[in-house]
Amino acid sequence: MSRTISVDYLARVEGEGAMYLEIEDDQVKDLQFRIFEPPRFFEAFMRGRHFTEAPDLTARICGICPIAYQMSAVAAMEDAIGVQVDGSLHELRRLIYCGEWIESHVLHVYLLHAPDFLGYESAIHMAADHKEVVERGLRMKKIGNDLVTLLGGREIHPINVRVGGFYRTPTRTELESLVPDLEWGYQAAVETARFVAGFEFPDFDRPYEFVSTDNGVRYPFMGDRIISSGGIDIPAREWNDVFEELHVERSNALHARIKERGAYHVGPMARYSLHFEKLPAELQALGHELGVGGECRNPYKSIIIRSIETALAYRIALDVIDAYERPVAPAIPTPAAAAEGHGVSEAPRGLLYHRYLIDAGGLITDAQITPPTSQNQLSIEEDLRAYIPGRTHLDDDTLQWQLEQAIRGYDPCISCATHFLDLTVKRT
Amino acid sequence: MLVVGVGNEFRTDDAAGIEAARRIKRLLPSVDVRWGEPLDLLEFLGTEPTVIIDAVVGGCEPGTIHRVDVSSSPIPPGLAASTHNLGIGDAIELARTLGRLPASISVYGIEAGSVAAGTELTPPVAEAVDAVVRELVDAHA
Repeated sequence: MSRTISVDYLARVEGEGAMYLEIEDDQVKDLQFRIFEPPRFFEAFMRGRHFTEAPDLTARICGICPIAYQMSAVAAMEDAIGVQVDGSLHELRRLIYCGEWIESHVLHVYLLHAPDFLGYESAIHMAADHKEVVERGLRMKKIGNDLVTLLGGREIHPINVRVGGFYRTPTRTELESLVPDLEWGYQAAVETARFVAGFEFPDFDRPYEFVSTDNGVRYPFMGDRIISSGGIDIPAREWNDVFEELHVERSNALHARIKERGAYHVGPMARYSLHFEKLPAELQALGHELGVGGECRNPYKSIIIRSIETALAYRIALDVIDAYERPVAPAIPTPAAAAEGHGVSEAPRGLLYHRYLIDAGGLITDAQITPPTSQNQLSIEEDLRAYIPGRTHLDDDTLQWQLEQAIRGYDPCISCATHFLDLTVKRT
Repeated sequence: MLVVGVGNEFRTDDAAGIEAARRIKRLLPSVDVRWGEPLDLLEFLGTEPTVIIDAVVGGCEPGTIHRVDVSSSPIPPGLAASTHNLGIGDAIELARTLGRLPASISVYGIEAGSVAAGTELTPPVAEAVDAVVRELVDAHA
């Protein structure tokens, strides 16, 4: 049987990209997930800048996850110059990261992914019928924004994070003002997880190799190692020994893969599956209650994992505030040194790797920024290849809907990796 | 008055809304000026008259200024495009559905010439930003 589906536009993915899919009978004949990246604009833009400018400049790469860019940048710079930020300064970094996970995850769960499951074309259509649900999501998201604003400053992009710490640290009273909202948010996130776990999910588990940051102790925002479900366990500075980025003709973006092995998967499902035992007991219990257990390999169920991680972010924020003592100084000294530095951290969408070379005067001479969406590209393609056989009996609209939903499960932030997104499905 | 600038400073003319909002803030310190992602609009909106400034790709000459009153009807579909996927048009309609729109709200859409990677506005868009800033500052005076 020969059919052609042509779709021009994949909505509800941050930024834009393109998908081309050709199906012959029950088989995928050709499949390309194309991303049009401003060719490594930022890596070139960074060269010649002072190393202390990196957090401010890279924060502007993405309007959704500026903190992730700042955190991977400061981790790389601190690695390069040989300083370590710990104690309450490190805790404040975890706290601001909580804000970003909340904002980004709630945006995705409520406004981008839930409409797929509930059968709405968009969040606007969904809001007409589920006003209270959308209002709850917006209130949850605002708490994340408030956290980022309090710690990051009120500018277009957060400006308070610096190599060595912060420009200004908050008082305990300022942080405590957020506690009632965070407590409400935690409960709301648990309810969200129960709500989304009631959606219908295709039966579709995938043999991913999960990759994430690791710090050995805690569910990771930051860490100095990278681990995988396939046995990778390396310091961040060995990223280029184990992973590689390949130019693919159809895409301006680079595709990352594990050398001689191929696709891998970063993001909430990878973190959850690799670090489940580090979750608080009540969230482990929630995972079991909702049927995902200690490992999730179904990309459609990422919405449940994102909701559990949202609850985790509220929980961590409350714990950090509870234990907070204002640091003696807002930052530690950061003397320049000619060196190479590597940094990883967990953007809401997954591992974000930065590498910089700086000279003796502190100027950046080379930069490498590998966003999570570039790392997930091959995995997205493999998911779609695997999903189609056995499902070609679905009508065009349904198949397209489910494929878009699968792509959205990755929350691909194409604005940090790219430009326009069109989806084309051709059946011959 | 509330002025909201939307855009991406690293996408050439997509920075138009941010640049205009930044200048209005300097010229009119008493005006509430915000920047953000389109969906942040839902948090910024109150009851005061609101002006949103964003770059648009509507098929007109670069630098063309579209003034659209959205208090009772949506942004025309052809004007809603920007590099942010849940765009400002979506944010406005979501706010409308939730009953959060102020009585007076309008969008100044500046037609972009380029949204490629870059930090400089193209000349016609820079002129349009000047014109929008003058117009809003004069209207407020």
